[in-house]
Amino acid sequence: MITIFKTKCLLLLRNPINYIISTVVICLFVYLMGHQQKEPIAIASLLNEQETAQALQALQKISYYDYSVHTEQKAQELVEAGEVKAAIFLFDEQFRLVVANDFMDSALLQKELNIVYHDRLQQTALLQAFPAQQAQVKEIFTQAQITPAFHIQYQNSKWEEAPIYNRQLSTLFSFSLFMVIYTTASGVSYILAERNMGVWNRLIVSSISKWQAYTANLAYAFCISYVQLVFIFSIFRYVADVDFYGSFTFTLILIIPYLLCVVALTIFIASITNTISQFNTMIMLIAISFAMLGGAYWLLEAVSSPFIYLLSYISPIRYGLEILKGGSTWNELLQPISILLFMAVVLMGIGINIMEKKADT
Amino acid sequence: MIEVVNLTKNFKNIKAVDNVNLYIEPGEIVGLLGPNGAGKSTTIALISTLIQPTAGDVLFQQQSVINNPKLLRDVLGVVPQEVALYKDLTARENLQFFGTIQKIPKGELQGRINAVLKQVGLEDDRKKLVKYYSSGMRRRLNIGAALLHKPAYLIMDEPTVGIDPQSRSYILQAIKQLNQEDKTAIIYTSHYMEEVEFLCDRLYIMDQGKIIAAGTMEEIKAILSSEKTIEIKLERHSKSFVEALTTLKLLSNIQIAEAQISFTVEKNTDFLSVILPLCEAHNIVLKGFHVKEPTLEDVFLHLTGRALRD
Repeated sequence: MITIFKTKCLLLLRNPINYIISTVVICLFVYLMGHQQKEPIAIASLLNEQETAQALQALQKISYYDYSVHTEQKAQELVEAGEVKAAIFLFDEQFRLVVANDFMDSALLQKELNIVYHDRLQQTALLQAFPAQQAQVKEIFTQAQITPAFHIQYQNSKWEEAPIYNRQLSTLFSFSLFMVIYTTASGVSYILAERNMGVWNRLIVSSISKWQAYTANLAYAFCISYVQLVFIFSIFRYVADVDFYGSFTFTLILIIPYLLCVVALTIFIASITNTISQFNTMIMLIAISFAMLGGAYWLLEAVSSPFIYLLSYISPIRYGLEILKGGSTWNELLQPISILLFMAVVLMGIGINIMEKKADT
Repeated sequence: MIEVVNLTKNFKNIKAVDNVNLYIEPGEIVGLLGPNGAGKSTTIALISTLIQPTAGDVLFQQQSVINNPKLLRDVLGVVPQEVALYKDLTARENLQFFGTIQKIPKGELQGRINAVLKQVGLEDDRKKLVKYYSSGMRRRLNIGAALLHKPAYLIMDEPTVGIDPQSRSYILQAIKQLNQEDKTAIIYTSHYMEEVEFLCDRLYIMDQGKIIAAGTMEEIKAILSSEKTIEIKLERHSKSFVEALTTLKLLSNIQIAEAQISFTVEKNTDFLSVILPLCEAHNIVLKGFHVKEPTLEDVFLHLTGRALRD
């Protein structure tokens, strides 16, 4: 088994170009996405200067947008002319968001604005309840924000205080999980190639058992994918200083179930195809579809069709991204991890079974 | 001894191997001859325990290997029809790999690799990547990879396909030598008559999944001992001449080439008394004729009604 594994590594060393190219492409893509020019967003505010500044401060947590204040009419015109992708209209008791069709961060902006308006409306309600003691209420409210009566620590990622969405990190995870499918496929494709060129038959009639031959090949596919992800993540961690939501090591552990599932998925695809070219075509189709469905190209929150959203549940990328999004508790991680492992077991079982049946027919 | 008993293999509705019986004794070379699609490779795959039969059994030393393939695999070497090697490894690395998976002890492996490289004549090219080998060299290494563990039985599935005559001759000599020196029993499949005639002690002829003839070379040729094959050379021939020729009941297995026609007749038939008047009647010039001893090709033609490479 070790011999097969070592030989595969030697073959990779002899022909590393595809592996290196895919690694470089992921790094470059993520770097460029993370360092692209800030996109402008127009803001039209009917609030006073101080309140507008507060809202802007909150929005600037989303660092890859450049916010500029305009009149209501100008902001509207800018969106219509396509000069900005989104315009935010801040009113006394509500806000309005006007966005272009291809704007993907509506949900994110809404989340930030909800926090601003949540505090604002709370204060307004208190002031209305105690009209005679406005100054006192304001002071108590400010004081309560600085030193709250209860120190509440939120562990739930759905809560507003969860780690803020980091576009570069999200791009890194999305693109890595998507591209690594091709790396895994290149490892698994050896099984198909060996079956076609007769080496597999030599393995079968040798002194090693079938399960050893499968295990060695699958372990190789897993390892090259894992090493690639560790390498890419390490570059972003130690060179680009990306914080990985403060748990780099944990991230490296969390990608394991995803990779197991991808290895199983590729072996399943190998089982239903007969040639390397068929396999490569299938992998390309499946990887791109799963990336689209699973939220690697855009946030799942931006998906408006319930059917497409439902389809996202079959994409391992969805669960991979869910695991990696940061701030989740063990309980929350358990579900996507279990689904990935379940998919891995089922796809692996079916895949190897079909392969063995095909070999005999 | 390996015995194949009533072996049958169906692929969906196709009977690829149909009730085949054969045996191979230690130290002999047995040929499995037949055209493409005759079922040779499937039979080989069944004997090699690579696929499961639909019916029948493969016995090694009187024990079934269907449920206990290890019994046979330990003493079996398989040379597949494809070049089953890693092209990005050198000859030595390939042999190292296949030797290790055969669990040849480390102390012995290097010695065996050197011996095999010598046996297949690739000592000087052992450090070259296989992708830079000629097809003949690849074929030789393909055989070498099956010899590492000194198998008592070697199955070779058309090992000379697509190579130059020089490499082919080298391979055939090497196989003969392997059989004579190491007493390796060999099952050799081919659709080249001359290879089988050169190598094999006994022969099975397959067609459409069935064994249609079996025996030593002499026994097989004796099938046609009552007949002789005649080749006539003509300046040209015409449609009417060929039509007239095919109506002659004396002749069988008529094969027509451009200016040459061959046919089989009963051993004592005076074929000239029939052919000459026919030539005269159709204004055809007979340039010469040749009476041939029956070959395996003739036997195959006789048995199946078609040429081996059809």
